[in-house]
Amino acid sequence: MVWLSLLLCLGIVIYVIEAVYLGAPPLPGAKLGLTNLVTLVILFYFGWKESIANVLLRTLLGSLLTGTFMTPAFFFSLTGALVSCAVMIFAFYTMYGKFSLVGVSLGGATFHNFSQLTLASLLVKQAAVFLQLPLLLLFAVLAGTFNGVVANLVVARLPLSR
Amino acid sequence: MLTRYDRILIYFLLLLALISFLAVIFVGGRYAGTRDAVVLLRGKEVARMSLNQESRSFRVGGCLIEIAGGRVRVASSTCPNKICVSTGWISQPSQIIVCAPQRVVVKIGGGSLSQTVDAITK
Repeated sequence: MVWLSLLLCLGIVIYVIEAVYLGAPPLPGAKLGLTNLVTLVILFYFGWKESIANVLLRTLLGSLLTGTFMTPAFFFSLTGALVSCAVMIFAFYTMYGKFSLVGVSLGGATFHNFSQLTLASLLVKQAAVFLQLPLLLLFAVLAGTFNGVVANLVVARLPLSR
Repeated sequence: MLTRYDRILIYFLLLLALISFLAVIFVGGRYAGTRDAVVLLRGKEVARMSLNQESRSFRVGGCLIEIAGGRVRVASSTCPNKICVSTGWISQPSQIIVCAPQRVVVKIGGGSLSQTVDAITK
């Protein structure tokens, strides 16, 4: 339980820092996506229920702290985080043997961005929003690989029982 | 550290990124003649201005839209995050400015052509 709280705080801190310091050109609105690292670690050590709870709490508290609660940005965050969490849960429980956490993380990262693009296209009723896809896919690969590698390292070194 | 399948996935995603990049460049829109700045509010077109004119600004929703030097941008906005403003100038059909809170979209359209035309063959 203590670990869950600590990881939640870590996730919130990452969320807030990303919200404050990122969002500049060339890709406004795209952050680094390091919060998925926390989701990944919790998924591995604790399971899917805890990871969903963590995602919900982190997005809620993070948005309260950054003053974006109930704004469009909040719903974008929530959508991205929940969809990517669901994808990561699915990937983890079905494919973890073949893929390391890197593969799980990449699945989460790409769908995080993609679901936010989809939400944006529904909101403004323009399919042209998907023109952002190439750059976002590239960022997803970079951030996803980074998260996955770090998660692999953590898992190899941190023996934790439920 | 990375399994073989991880690597395959990475290459696959990079390939997807490359393909979508090419798709955006070539199918994103090619128009002959002058280009227009097209502004949509909640999915409905509310303004279509040629980019070839001297500077002018006008307000759509909470966004102040400025056309100058063959380019268009959102100069200021009442939205909280100002992502639209930080997008900067656009002038190519493959570029787009979106202000989600204001439901405003700025695209580049062809001069006398309909927006559904993707490419022209001679």
